[in-house]
Amino acid sequence: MTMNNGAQEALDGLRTEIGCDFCALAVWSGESRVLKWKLASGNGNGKFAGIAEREQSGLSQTVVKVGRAMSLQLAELLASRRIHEYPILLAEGLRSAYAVPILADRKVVGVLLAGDRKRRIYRAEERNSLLIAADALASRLTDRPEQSTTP
Amino acid sequence: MSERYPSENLAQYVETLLPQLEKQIPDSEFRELLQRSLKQLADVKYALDEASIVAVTDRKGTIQYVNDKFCEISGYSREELIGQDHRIVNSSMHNKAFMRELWATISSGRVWRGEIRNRAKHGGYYWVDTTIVPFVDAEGRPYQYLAIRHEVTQLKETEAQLQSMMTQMMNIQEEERRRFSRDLHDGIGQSLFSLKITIDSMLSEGKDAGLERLGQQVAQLMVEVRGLAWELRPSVLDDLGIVPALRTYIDNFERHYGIRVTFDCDLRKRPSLLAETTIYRVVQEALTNAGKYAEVSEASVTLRGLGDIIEVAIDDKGKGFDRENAGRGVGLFSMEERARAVSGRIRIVSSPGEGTKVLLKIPAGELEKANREREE
Repeated sequence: MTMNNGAQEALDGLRTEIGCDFCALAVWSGESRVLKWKLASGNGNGKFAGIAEREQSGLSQTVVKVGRAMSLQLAELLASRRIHEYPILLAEGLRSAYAVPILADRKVVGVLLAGDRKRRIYRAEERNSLLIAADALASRLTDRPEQSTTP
Repeated sequence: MSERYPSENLAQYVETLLPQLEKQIPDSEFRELLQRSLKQLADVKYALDEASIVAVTDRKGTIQYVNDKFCEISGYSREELIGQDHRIVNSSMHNKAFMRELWATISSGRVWRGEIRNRAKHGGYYWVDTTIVPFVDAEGRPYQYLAIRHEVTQLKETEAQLQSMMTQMMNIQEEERRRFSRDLHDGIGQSLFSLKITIDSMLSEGKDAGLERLGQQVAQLMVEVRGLAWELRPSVLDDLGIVPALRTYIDNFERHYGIRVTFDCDLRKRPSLLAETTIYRVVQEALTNAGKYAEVSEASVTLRGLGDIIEVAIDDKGKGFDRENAGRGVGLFSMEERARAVSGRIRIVSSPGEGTKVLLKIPAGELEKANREREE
């Protein structure tokens, strides 16, 4: 599935804007109940594309289910023995991340994540930038795929 | 017995030799030196006898000397022991290979150390931490063996108790997981299923957006319950065995971590349930470690049936780790305990930058026994 209708540029731009190491976009498929990482910026390897998070744990259970943003810190996840629920953090070696839901028609259709390989606390304006970017991406996620299904 | 040495029994002649030195050795300085050395030898022997269980045998293993402690612990009198060989206290705990290794070591003039279980006269067993020192002649051939032992029965018993507790604990945990998993799947899972059917039949009578949403949520709940049950303990492991269980586990693992796993297996028959559980949990632990720490995009799992053993290997070419700095290493510890519980062995080879290899070997004795049990 190609989805590079400016979404890649949006991720790259977001990464410069808030100065983070990594940015990625995941699509939530309500039918198969899987969260798949589609695009990334600043990735260290191609593993993100192979990750399909199922709904029992991690971001599917938090950001997707509740529809709210969430801050992730490696140290806390290690201490609570939940790090394995966040494969994207492991794949990219992130120590901190902030994940926001991408909402379309009040339903979660994806997750936008910004992360860093060092410890970082995301400030209010940075978190806000992410929410705005998520909003902008929402239209791309919902409009485009339906168009692209017709040959 | 052609070769006889003057001190067949440790420092036996010291007491008779000492007074003779006066007459035999005129050089007073040398004599004093000799006297002191001999006295020291006798003192060391006294200390040794006080501290340890001591026996001396000739090179064939015939007992020439035992101290009081030996008699005390074995329950035999000195007269019963001297002239016998050590088979008198043999507990038939140790196999031929063990004994062969022992004799190969000492007959080539090297010191042997190890723990041996012996049998006392009254039939009880005792464990001794043993050091056998060969005394060699000018050509380097042993002519006598000195065995120094310390009783470690209590230590061994505690060790065995700990081991069996550990095994029991793991079995109980597994049993509980199996029960919870079944209850979730068959209990709550079934109830949700019938709820879904009710909603569906209501929906077929007339569309309702709210009811439709409810139906979706129930469907989601069913998936979650099934997932939870699977994670606790996959029923496939009990029903179809280790190979299908591992295939599904690896499938899920690949999708979750984005790591490709090659799975290679040539097992012909099902091992015992205990062995299957061990294999499953060890692979699970090893792969999870690879997913969390190795920073790789590939790994491999191999299962081999090698005659009387099953060999399981989990490999990655990732970051590797240093055993010393592997944190609390709870995972490594539990893998080792699990292996030991089925009299298997586990080897974890890893060093920074060199990847990690976890090698599990389970004796097939378990395997055949299990197959017999299943047939009965």
